[in-house]
Amino acid sequence: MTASEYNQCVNDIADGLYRFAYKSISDEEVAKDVVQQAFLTLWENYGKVTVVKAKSYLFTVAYRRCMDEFRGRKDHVRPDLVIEHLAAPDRTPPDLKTVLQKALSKLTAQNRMLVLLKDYEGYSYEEIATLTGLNAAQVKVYLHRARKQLKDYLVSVRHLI
Amino acid sequence: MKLMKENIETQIMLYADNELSAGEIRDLMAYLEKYPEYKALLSEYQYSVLQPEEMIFEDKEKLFQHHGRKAKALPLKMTIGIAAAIAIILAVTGYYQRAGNDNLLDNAQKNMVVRASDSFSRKLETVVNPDKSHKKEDPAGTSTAARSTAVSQNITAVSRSSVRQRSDVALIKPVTFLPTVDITADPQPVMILVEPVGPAIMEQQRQTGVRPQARQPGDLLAAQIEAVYEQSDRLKGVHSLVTELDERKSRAVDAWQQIKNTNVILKIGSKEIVIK
Repeated sequence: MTASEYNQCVNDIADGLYRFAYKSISDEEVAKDVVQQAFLTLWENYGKVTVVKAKSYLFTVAYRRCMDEFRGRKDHVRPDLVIEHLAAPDRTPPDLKTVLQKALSKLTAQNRMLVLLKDYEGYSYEEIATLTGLNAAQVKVYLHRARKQLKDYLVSVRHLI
Repeated sequence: MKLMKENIETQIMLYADNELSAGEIRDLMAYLEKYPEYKALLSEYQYSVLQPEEMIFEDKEKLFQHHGRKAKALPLKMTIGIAAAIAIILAVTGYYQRAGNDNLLDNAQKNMVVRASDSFSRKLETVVNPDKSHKKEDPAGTSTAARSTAVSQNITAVSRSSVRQRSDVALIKPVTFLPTVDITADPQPVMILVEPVGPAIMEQQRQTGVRPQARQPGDLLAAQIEAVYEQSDRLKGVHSLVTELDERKSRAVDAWQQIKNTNVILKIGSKEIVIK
């Protein structure tokens, strides 16, 4: 990978990688840190990583970094609690996006990241397995479990409204 | 795979995840046409798919690299950590430096003698107070600084008597940093001022009785000894020290270079002496 190819990766992937990190850990500064570390790692290994593999390489680094972040959080504030608190005074019915974000925050860190990789980045089960180090069967099970949780939450909120 | 009630939800999830082949999608749609009660479940799973959402990473400039150069972008946490470490080091250094200055000024005001090097003070004390010097050789539990302070006090005692004869003398030590000092707060300022003059000029001073104005870096020690020698009969043995101390003139040169650009204001009674 040349420097120009690397810079093109920055232009093409940085936004998505930041979205993945931010949605995963709900912390802007940490998310930026994750993105910087991922690209720094890519640049340090630019001789070993091809342009085609760059995106999955970056997401692999970011995924591991986010998992490390979660393991380090002993008493982190769950994002869903913040959302509930903020949404309480608002009597207007929440839109689907808001409800989905809330439902997403209720998932485990790993399941949330799998959903993000699936829905935002469009990776297949196999690709997610390669990226995360899980096997395809695990990815399928975890994702279906997460998908069912999201669906159940949407249904419960719809009934409340 | 044959679709049935037990696996229809899984197939719907796979469909929502876009994991079905074209043939599998056809089979699923046919099943839903046959059992429309599952269409709602399909809608629910389709709603559970996150919709595209644009987010911009605004720090791309930090990530760009130029050809042939290694990555320089540091993680934000690391950057903050480095900045914090530098800030702490600067703060601690500043604190101790300030504390050192305060101690220096405090000692100067208390003793009215800013000491020369510790070893020089000890040797000087040996000459000044030979009967007391052995007590200072190894004071139990005293540090070098404490011993040095004690020596300075002895020098001050000698100086007090000498000041009766020469009210305009004071002893200035070569210090590494010495801000402008106003010692008027002390009720009895007693210092010996020894001007850094060379031996030739000192000889001229003896003959003419006029204090020379010329200053020559490096002669501070010799001048100190000379001045003290003139003040007390007990200092006759000081000549034996001159040769040895002469070898250390180079240190005095360095020290003089350090203090010559600082201003020290001494007030002895109503008289004010500014040393530049």
